[in-house]
Amino acid sequence: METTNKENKAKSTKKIRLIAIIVAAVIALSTVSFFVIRCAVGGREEETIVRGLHERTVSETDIDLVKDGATDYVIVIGENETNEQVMFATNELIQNFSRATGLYLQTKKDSEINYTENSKVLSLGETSLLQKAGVTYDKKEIGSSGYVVQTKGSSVFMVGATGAGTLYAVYGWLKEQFDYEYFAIGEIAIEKGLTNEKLLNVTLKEKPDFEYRLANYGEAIYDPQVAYRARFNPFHSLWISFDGTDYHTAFEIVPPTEYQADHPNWFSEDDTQLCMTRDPDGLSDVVAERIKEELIANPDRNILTVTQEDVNTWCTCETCTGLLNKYGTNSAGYILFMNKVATKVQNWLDETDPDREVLIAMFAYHQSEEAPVKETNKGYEPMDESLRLHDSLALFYCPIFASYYYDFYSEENVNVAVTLDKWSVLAKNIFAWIYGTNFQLYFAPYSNFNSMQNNYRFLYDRGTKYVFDQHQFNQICGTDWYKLKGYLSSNLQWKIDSNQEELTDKFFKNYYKDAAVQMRQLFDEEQTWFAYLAEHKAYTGEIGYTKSTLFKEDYWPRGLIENWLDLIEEAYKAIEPLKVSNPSLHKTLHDRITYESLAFRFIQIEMYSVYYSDFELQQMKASFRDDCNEFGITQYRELEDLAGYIGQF
Amino acid sequence: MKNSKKSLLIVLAIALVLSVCATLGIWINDIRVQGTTETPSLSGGEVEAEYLLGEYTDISSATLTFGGQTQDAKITVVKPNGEKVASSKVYLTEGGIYTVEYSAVFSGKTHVVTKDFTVKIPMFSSSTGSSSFEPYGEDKSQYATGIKGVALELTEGDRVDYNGVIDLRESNGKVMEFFMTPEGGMGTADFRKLTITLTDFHNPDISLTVIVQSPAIHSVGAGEEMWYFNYTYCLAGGQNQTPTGMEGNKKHVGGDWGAATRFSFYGQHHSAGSEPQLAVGQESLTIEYNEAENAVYVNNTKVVTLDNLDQFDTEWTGFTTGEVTMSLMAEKFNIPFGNIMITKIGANNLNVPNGIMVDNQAPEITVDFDGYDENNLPKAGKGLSYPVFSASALDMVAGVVPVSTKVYYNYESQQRSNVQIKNGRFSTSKTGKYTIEYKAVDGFRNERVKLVEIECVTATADLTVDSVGSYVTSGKTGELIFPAEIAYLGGTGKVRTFAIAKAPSGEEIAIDEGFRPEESGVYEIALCAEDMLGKLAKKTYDLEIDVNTEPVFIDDVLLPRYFLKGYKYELPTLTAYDYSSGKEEVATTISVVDGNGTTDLTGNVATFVADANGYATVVYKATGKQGNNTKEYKVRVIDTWRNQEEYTLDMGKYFYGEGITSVADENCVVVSSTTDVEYEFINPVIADKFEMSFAITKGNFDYLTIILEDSVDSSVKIEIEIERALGNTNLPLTINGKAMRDPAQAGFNDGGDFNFFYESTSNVLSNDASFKYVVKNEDGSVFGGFPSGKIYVRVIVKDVEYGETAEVSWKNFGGQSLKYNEYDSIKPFVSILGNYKSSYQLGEVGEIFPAIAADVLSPELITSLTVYDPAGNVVKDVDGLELLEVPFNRSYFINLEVYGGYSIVYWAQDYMEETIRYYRALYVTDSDAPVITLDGELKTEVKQGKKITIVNATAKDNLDEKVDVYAYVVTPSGIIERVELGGKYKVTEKGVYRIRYMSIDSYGNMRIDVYEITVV
Repeated sequence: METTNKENKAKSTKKIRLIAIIVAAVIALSTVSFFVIRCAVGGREEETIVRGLHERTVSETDIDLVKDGATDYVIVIGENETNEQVMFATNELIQNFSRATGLYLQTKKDSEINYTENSKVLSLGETSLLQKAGVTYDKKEIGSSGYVVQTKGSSVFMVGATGAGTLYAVYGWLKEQFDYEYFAIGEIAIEKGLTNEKLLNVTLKEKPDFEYRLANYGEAIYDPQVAYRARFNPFHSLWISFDGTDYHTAFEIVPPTEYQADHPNWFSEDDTQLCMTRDPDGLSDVVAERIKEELIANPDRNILTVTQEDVNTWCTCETCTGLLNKYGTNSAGYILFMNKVATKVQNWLDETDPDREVLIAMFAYHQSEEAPVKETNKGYEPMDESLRLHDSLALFYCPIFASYYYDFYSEENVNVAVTLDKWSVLAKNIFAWIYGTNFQLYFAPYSNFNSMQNNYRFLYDRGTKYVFDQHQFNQICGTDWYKLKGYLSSNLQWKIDSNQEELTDKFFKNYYKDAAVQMRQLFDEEQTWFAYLAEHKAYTGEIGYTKSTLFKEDYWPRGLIENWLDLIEEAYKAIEPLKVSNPSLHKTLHDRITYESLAFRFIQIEMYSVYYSDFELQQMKASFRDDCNEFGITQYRELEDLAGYIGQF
Repeated sequence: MKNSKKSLLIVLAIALVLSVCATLGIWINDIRVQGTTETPSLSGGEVEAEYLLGEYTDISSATLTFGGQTQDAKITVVKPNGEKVASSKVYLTEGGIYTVEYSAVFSGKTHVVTKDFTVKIPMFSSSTGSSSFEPYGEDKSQYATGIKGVALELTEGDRVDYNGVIDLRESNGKVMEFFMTPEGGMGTADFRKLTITLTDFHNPDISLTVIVQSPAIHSVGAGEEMWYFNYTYCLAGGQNQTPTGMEGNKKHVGGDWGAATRFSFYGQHHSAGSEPQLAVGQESLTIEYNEAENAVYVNNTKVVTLDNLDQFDTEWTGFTTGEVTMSLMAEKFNIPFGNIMITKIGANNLNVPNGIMVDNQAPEITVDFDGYDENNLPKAGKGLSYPVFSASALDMVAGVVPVSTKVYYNYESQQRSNVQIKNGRFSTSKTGKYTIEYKAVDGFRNERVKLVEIECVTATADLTVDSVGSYVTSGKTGELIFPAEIAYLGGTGKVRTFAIAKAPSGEEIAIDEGFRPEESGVYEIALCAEDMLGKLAKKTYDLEIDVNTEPVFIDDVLLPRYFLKGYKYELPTLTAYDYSSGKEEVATTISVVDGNGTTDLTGNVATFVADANGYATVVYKATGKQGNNTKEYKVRVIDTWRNQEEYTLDMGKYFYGEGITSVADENCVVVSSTTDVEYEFINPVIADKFEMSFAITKGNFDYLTIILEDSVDSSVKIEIEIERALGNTNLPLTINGKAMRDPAQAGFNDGGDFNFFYESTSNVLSNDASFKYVVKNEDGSVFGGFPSGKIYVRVIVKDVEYGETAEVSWKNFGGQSLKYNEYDSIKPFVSILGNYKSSYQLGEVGEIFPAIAADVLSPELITSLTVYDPAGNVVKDVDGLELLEVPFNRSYFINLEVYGGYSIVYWAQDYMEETIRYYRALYVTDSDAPVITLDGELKTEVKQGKKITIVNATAKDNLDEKVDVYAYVVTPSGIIERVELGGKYKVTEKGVYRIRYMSIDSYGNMRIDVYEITVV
């Protein structure tokens, strides 16, 4: 069975290659840009797209990886290897090898190995063995997260251009060799009990579709191990921070406490934002100097943001208003200012470190969302050439007002597409910050499952290098199929054209196990209901629904909620036998089921309390509170913790 | 004779076979043939001689051969506890000796052959079989610490049970001590969470869970979070509590944190920490339960106090004896297994041979001698009977085991005979020695026999009975007659006395507390005594009963303790009976005698004015066929008005007691006295959510006791006592005699407020800060609440200093602020005596629960209840009564005939016309989803690029006349798209499309029917 699976893998690789060749041929004949073939389906367009770098060949060998419960293999790292991700990769390899075989791999330095073709080595990162074995790779081709895995002789070489790439190479090899897959905290799928296992001949060359994929939900943000296992960039690992702040950095770079007294013109009249137009030279000097300081302090990082505070305001001084009137958008003044900053920083870099490529991001967000372009018969053009973004600037687009039930290709989000098209005229580098939960009410059910994948496609097709799909970022666990969302976004950001349905299936089977059927039914019913709400109740998936707009009886009829909670009960019943046979697993699954019940129980408490006696309601609230505490759910909404809400219980 | 010979031969043959088997070491230990003594032979059916607990048997199939025929044998495994499992594969969940029965039917008769095997109990057993342990010995891990203990390898998803019993009292609370020996080397945690569950050996419903865990290292390789290495976070909680841990004053409920103690799951402390790095084995974790504090400690750090309601919602009250079992579960593994070295478990010896627990202890039998001295039991009497004392047995491995009880005569002689036990007694027909044999056997067939000898003699103590003092020998029908007090003399053991009345008609009436004769004539009263041997003595006398011409009041009414002047009271009615010719209920009337003279009421509503002595008398009068009778109740009347016409009240008058001065000032009502006094608030208030606030403003006394008494049964009460103490604050506080852990926060004489709040649903009495207490009675049992739902509040001021004044200032009472010239501005409070379900089914009969209402100041309330159906019409109850403004002091029942919400309105109004409505709803819900029917068939397979027709569909529902159907297509890649019924849809992807037809009724019952279409 195992062999068959692996044969299938090899076959599917061939199949993929064949498809790739056909698609490539079609592309060659096509006049459509971005390697996209569009065809009308059901009134809308669908795509067959070739993206990213995902090369894979797998075949069998007769080399024993494990024989009769023992292995000759050792892990080898470079003599002077200190990179923390490579060290973590070593540990991950040890742990997962042990999970699969019960064997504990020894780790050696490359200097301790006399490499020959018959050496049984699992080489991680840049070891001297690479050269001896003739394994080469192009760092630029695979980028900061990509990797190469290559079986040579009896050894396997796993290496990326960075430590993270090497770590992902380990995961790539584990997936091929042991069917490894990471789903969420506490859920790793891997073959087990292998006492005899042949080494596979594996060649992988991977580069994720998005160069940067920032951890976007609390579980992955708070625990860098989760981020690594989900192949996200851990939070705070990517950007150069200003006093710990990655975004909304304006006041961290130019603290009002330090500058406002002497430079009131640098701040908006209501003190909520910077003013970038009254003294752009003076202000940009300070900003550029601050950036230089951080670039010196962070020699390994090259992206940072100069971005407005997180309130929907802008400076209303005469100068800013003048520019707004002239260009129709506040972003014009912002661009002009940022071009000054970028020029100063680049000039300095040219003198001090000419090879260093730095990107400074500015927001298209709230008051600066609109791009200063005009429409001509040739398409969009800058209203002024000075408004083109400096090459070292990146436009960080945050469509906060989008309808996330729908994808960006939809009519409902035509503004997003248009806005991004406009910015594409001005900016060479596009980053995106999109959203995946209701930030006003974390406990409200929310659905962006129908749009997530296409939004990634949309952004990719417009050259986006970075995507930050922000979910419930500030708590360790959340509602709303939080874990599934994390799993899907990690996989789809790596490889957009993965089959979301298959990923979803795999997740439910591995994550809910004995309760997979019931939980999948619950998910399917909920998603179908969202389709109904979108069509009949104007549900759009905006991220700021409040209770008054969302908690209506026709949105969440009482029977519907009860029936879904009945499904939760059925899920509990399905895992009941585990109570005796595997109590730990029972507890794990029970918890997983329970935290998906919280959204529905929240609705019961909020909308249908009248149906329950004081005592029952008290019990419901107490159990809701206890479960939230147990799972580490701490937020009522983005900017309000749960303590206040449950304190009223 | 032939049969006898044959039988003898068969017996000999069996004996021969058995002896051969024994010689050959075959452990066929029994051959039983039902209905015949011939021997079947067993083939196959191999079973191991020994197993370990938690393993499965794997008994091979077997045949029995008998009379030339061979049959497949049915295999049944008999567990040590007697339970039978008809399977060859049996999960061995208890240690002991098992029996395998091989049976087959030959010529209509069942033949059985048996074998025994033993299930040994290892020190630890694993629920999945994946964990393991090394018997006691020196540390064999890579660290070779030289420390001796039991090395335990734990695996993910496994529960490991320690198979001994830990006596926490013997071990001074110590549960376990262990250290980590991480497989991956120092600095790598094998796992990060260990849950230890202690279960009461005598009551498995009582358990205590302790969780010790280490956080994940947050920042890989970085230094700032490395202190995570050095600490373990602990939570603990009883079976009814969410595990909690106190980190200083911070409470952690569930989750990853808790009380912090120095111990590293990583086997070492990180160098970045300030603590010195220790070698493996130099640091261990000790878990303790402190019974005196009812607290859990880990490495001398208190984790939590289990009955502290600031830390838990509910108390955990401890183990029964301290004898507990223990299980361990490890989680959050980094590798699939993890090692710990256990160095102590309770006070138990870990050094058992091969790690196998040997059970050679027989169960302990405990006989309940009903208070008699076991060594000096009363002698039995010839011709009488004797009680068989009940007994129980407890085995430290098997737990409670059954006790078989038999009684023998001449137990030790060869002629001993079995004596039948009937109704818990045995007859003692002969003199000599009777022996009660109690026998208990555990799973390893360790047997305990306890003998209780009873000597039976010819002569036993005489028993005589007589009356004490004078007694009633005559009376009238309907009167309550008490029999003479009974005295007895002699007898053996405990003597029971009772009386029986024999009526003129011959009917015998057991007299408990007295009886009311309904016949005239002579009754024979028998005074009886019976000793433990069943010897009965009796004395009779005559009771002459005449016809009673006056009606009799059997019951009493309960009137308020005080009437408040000017308020209308609805007085309870009182029933009387005429016994002149049998028992017949008669009419009664009510009169009031008060300051206004005598008033005959036409109904039962009255107002009161105090007479010259401050009282009013309520007189119930019954008129019989031959005469009349009255019954009177005298109640103090209090004038609480400052000006009744202006509706202003003198709240000082609401406290009444001899020797007090009660004056309302602009902030409160000040009650003072110069001697010890007792006073009370004159109006009963609702108990649920009762609150009061007061200050001791002159504290020249030692004790202030506040008693919340049920308004009907004053024996049901909560007594709060505050004692004056040095320092004036943190005063000792007791509730029903139990000292509170956190004493009262205000002081005597400092003007600080004492606040108390009682919530009946949770039975919690709390103040505003320091404690939250689930109320118990003085005997420690849980307080059961106030049955009437209302309370009187009584206050006792004790040990007032001579010549000084004691003063308490009352500020808030039941939500009513008390002060000078205050209006009654607080609405009445209604308490509904029942909980409506969240849903009812159509056709069900729903109960409309009764309610009680009260106002703090106004005893006069008008109340009503109205019930509406979902359409807004007034509902009739099952008896046809229209539920429109009916009294709510009783239940009503209604037929639930339509879906939707039935609205119930409880309404109450006080004297000041402050009204309140309480709304409740009774919802009849629908649980049936619509049924969807497709108007045709969907294709199941189509080619890529083709269009499919989404066939039309309709839906029917039991709730709604019209329900719509919607169709959605889920593409193979998981995208959901809306499609029109009857419309076309082009399939562009290969794979499985799912068409979801959805319909939902107005209640929210949703149906989704899914059809799959494979696109090739």
